[in-house]
Amino acid sequence: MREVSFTIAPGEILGLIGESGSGKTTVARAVMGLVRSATGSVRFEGREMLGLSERELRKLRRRLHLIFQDPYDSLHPGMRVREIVEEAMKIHGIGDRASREAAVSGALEEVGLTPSSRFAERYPHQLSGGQRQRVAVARAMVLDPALVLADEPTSMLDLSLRSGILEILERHRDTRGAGYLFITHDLALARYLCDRIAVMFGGKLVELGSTETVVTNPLHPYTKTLLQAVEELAPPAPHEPGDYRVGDPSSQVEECCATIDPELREVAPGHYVARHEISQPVPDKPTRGKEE
Amino acid sequence: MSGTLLGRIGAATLILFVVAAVFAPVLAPYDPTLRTAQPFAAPSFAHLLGANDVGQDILSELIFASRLSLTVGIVTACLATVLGATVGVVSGYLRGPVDGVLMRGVDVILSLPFLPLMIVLAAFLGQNTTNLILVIGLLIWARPARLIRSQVLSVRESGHVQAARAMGATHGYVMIRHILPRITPLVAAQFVRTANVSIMLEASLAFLGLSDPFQKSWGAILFYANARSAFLADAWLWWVLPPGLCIAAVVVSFAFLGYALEERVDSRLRSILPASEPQKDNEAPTPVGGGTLR
Amino acid sequence: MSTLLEVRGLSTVYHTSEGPVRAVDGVDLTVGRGEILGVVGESGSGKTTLVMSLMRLVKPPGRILKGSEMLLDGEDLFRLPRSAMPARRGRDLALIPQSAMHALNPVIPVDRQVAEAITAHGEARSKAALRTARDRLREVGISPERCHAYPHELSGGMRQRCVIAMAVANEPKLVIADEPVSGLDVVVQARILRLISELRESRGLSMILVSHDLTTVAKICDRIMVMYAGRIVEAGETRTVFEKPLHPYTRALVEAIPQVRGPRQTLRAIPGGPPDLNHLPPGCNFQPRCPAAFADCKVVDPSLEEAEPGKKVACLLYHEDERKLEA
Repeated sequence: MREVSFTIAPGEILGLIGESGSGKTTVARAVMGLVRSATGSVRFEGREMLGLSERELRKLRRRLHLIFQDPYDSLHPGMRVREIVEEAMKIHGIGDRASREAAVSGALEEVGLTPSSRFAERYPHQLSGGQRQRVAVARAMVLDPALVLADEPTSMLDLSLRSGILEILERHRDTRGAGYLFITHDLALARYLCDRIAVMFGGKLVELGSTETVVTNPLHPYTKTLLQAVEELAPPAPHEPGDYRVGDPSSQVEECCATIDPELREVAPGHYVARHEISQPVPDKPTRGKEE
Repeated sequence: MSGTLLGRIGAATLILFVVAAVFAPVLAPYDPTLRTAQPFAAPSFAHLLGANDVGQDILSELIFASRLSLTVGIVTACLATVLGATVGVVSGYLRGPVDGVLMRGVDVILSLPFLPLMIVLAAFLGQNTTNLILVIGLLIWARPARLIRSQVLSVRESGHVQAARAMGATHGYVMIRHILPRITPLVAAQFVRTANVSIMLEASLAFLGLSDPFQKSWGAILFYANARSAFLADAWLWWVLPPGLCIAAVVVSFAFLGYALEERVDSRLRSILPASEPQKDNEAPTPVGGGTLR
Repeated sequence: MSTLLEVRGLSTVYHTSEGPVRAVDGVDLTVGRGEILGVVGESGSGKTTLVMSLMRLVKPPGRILKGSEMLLDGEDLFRLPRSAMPARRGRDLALIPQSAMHALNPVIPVDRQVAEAITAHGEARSKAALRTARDRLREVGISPERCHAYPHELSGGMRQRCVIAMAVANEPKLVIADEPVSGLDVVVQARILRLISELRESRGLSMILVSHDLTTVAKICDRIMVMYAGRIVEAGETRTVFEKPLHPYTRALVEAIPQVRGPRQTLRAIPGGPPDLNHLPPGCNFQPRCPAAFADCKVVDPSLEEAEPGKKVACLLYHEDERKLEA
């Protein structure tokens, strides 16, 4: 991952889009402070997080939560659902037994694992993939974090179960005003959930703007490529086998980015793109994507 | 299936030996420290395995010796496993410089010539059982440490470990609550292995005369038998063979048990792995039958 | 279009500790020459078992039930002795497995792997095979200078191309692709699907494409079959399935696809989880999750019947007579 700059407001869902290997996951881990080699600045609730001691970072992690992609891997196989959801509270020494139990069942109910008593004593392997991811979401909500980083939370789930998880996330955002970083490779999915979209390519942010702007008026070649691919795949278009072509997308991108490494600059209010031939004349001081 | 059967056979044999060791005073027909027969007596109904050079009953000696052999084996294995697991978990989990230092230490120990070093150490520290346990223990923890570390390296990358870290868990918490439970089967298998190794090593050292002269183990019986030339006389049949068989039986049973445990570790890994892979849910299961079943 | 493959009454049973489970339950399907048939199913739908059954690679405790027929060019492959199958795989039937990384040998350059696939059938000597292999690789878009690469030196999309080249190397009558693009980036997915559709054009490839993802099958398949709990619940022309899904499950699936164009409707979720094949509900398998279920659904197990010309569906909403029958 190279230079990535973005902000997330409370109650905002920022979509971070990019192909595998573009560094999306690294962004999430850097924000969490799990990658210690990050440089630059990560400010959370006005506080600089980089350079914090392990101890202070741990305290701060109460207010942040990371939801992982793979619900088969992110839940400890030897712990019961109750213990998994309770764990964060235990780690931070919050509440007594009774209050923790109440919080756990509240969180389980909130993510639709009802009745909670039926699920609390189960082990992850006794749950389906969708249910596991709900447990992971319940674990995220139980401490009421101010910022949730969701790393492809639905990509391992059946299509028919995805929207259920998305609904829960959206409802959580609406009721608690938590900010979300929603990491996905699926532009179409991001469109449904996100207020703004940031597109990553080759470890760099190449475009950032409100969802509708990015989707309707993509400026960076990679964003265009991505949109073309999504549209190309999107059903239900009239079906004529073999009769669909788009320009080979990668060539455009490589042409553009192989030689020059353009900076992210604002081309319209709130719409940033890293591309050289746009927004001429080139300003002396390129506006960078907002810090933080 | 066969692994389970072998494991049962191993466990049963071991239990037999442990019972013999615990109830030695009841089971042994004589006090092995007393002279109860003619020196070099051949087996008779009174003395099933005859007597040694000072007229002590060999059967009683054998039963009492199992106490020392098993104690050394098990205590040493505990020591080595705890040490090995601690080093393995800390090293594999923390990585970085800590890992570097610990693993170089492991390398050094693994590259030392075992037996000569132990002979020197045992001779240097003095011949008593505690020293023997310490010496063996300090030399055999390295292999389990290395194995456990490699397992920890993969476990630490699993999502739940990352999740716990992201929730603000301390390293200690993660190691105890998240890493350790996942490697317990491996640790158990390693314990059995080290027990096995330490019984062999103790027997070797004792056979070389480097054990506590006041407490006889099976190896020590062999040492005395050798010293009195029993190997060359008819007496080998009742003086040399029985302790040798005891050592072999215990070692083989530990090996069986270890084999069964390792098989269980493997099958547990197999049952955990497909579940932790992306395939189970929406992406199709691996092209092995039964994937769609849960 | 003449029929290439006709499968009738295919059932595959797994014997589990909780009793036998029908992972594939009475599936009929046909594939015409040069046709791509899409099979869509989510977890527990039995689509992978279907693939394995068609390749006759089902392993115990799984078993293909007697009475299942698989006619390829009129010859029932299920009646062949097991020992005859290896010779058929690759020639008559080829599999594009799900994970290209696992399908390729990491220590052999890709051109030699494709050549091995060719020589395995004794058609060509190794030199000639290697030449053919490179042609095949060029055909799937691997440039000659990348032919000697080892799998790990290639990107995911390139590896998938190699696997496709291996599958089509012996000009099989039928290619079965199991999730050929899952796990790839959208851009790469589009390209691989384009490649498949080009191969179909150029070589008249006949194919069964199995996927959990409706969008994968939407573009290149002529017909689609939707599987749920081991059964086909809907089958028809791709366009009609998308534009007018009949079965409530299909409808829900289509409505759950996020669209990048058009109005932002709320995505609909299907309540409940994937079917548990050990404890299937009474009546229709989908009935507990179905928004349109009515009393009869709990009693009658609907069969796959033609609801409209060219469109079959297994749902009581469209089977007046079955409902009455039960009443």
